[in-house]
Amino acid sequence: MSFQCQYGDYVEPCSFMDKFIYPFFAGVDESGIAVFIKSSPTIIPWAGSFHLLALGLIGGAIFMADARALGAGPKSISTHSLYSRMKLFLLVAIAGLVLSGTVLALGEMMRLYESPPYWVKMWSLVAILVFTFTARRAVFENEGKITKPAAIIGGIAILMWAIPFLIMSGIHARVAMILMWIGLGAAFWYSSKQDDAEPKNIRIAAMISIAMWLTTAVAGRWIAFY
Amino acid sequence: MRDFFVWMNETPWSIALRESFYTWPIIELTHVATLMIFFGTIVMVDLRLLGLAFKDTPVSRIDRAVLPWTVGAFAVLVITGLLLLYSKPLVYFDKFFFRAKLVLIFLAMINILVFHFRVQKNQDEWDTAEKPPQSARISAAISLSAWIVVIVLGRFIAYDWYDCPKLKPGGFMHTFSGCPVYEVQNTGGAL
Repeated sequence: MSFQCQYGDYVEPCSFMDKFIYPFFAGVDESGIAVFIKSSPTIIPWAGSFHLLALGLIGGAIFMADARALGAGPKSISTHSLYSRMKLFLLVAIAGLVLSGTVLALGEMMRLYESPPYWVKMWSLVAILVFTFTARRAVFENEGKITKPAAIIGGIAILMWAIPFLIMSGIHARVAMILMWIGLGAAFWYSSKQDDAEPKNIRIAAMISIAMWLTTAVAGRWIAFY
Repeated sequence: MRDFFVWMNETPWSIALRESFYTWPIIELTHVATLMIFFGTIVMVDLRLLGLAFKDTPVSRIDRAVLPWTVGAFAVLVITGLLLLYSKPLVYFDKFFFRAKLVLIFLAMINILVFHFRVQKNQDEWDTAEKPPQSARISAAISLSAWIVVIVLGRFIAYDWYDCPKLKPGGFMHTFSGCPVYEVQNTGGAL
C-alpha cells in the first residue's frame, strides 16, 4: 500500500520526504519540549543570540587557522600551531552552534521542514563537520599529506555540500557562490606567491573550509527571509 | 530628531531598499557574516590580553596581524548597519534594544580609546608577558563583555518586548526609547 499525499489539487503517492521525514518533524513539533519552547517568549531570542555568538567564535577559529593558511592572520605563528590552538575553540563553537541551533529548530519545526535554505544549511553543516574532522584534519596535522581514506571521505563531504546547493538554490545564490569562489581563488593564488606558502593541500583544504562555513552561515540566515 | 527620521523614511531610496526582494536581505546577511570576522578576531585579541590564549606570542604581534581585519570588518558592519537603519528608520528609532545597542557600542569605543591612549602607553614593558597587567586585562574584559552584549541586543531588536506601546509613559525606558508622548486634552467629560 502506498501513502497518498495531496499536492495542490492532486492526490499522489507521497514523496520520500513527505512519507518518512514529515512524520518525524510533525512528531517532534508536538513533543513536550517543542511545545514548551514555542510557548516561551524568551527561549528563542536567547538561543538566537547564543547561535550568533557561536558563529562569531567559529569565525575567529576559521580566521586564525584557515585564513592563516591562505596568507592572512598572524604570520609569526605557524599554520600548524594555530590549527592546534584553534581546535578547542572550534569544538566549543560547534557544540554551541549545534545546541542553540537545536533549540531554534524545536521552536519552528514545521516552517523549517518547508524551507529549502534550512535543508541546504543542514546538508552543508553535516558536510563541513565530516570534512573538518577528516580531510582538513589530515592535511593540517600532516603538513599537507593526506591518506586515501581521508581524501575519499573529504571528497564525499564536498559532494554532499555541493549537490544539494546546486539542486535547491536559486540563480542569485549561485552567482554569490561563483563570486565567493573567485575571491577564494584569488586568495589561493596570492598565498602561492608568498615565500612561506603552505603546502598546496593545506591551502585547498582551508579554501574549502572557509567556503563551506560561509555557505552554512549564509543559508542559515536566509531561512529567515524565505 | 523624529522629524528627520520620518523624512528619511519617506525618501525614495529608503522605500526602495525596504521593499526590495533581495537587496535588504543581502545587506542584512553581509552584516551577520561580517560579524563572524569582527567578533571572532576581537575574541582572540581579548583572550590574549586576558592571558588566556597565545600566551607565548607578544601582544603586539597578535595586534598587528589581527586588528586590521577587525577594523575592516567593523567598517563593513557600520556601513551595512547604517544602510539597514536608513531602510527602516522608524522601526529602529524608538526601539529600546537599538538605542541600548548604540550606547554599548559607544562604551566599547571609549574603552578602546582608554586602552589605546592609557593602557598601551607602556606596552613595551608587558608586551611579552604571559599575563598582561591588570589594566589591560580589565580593558579586555570590558571589551569582550561589551561586544557580547552588543550582539545580544542586536538580536533582540527583532522582538517587541519593550516597544513603545508596552512601556509606561514617563518611565525611564519610555523616555530612553524616545517614545512619543501624546497630550490628552481634558474635555471635562463632554465628548
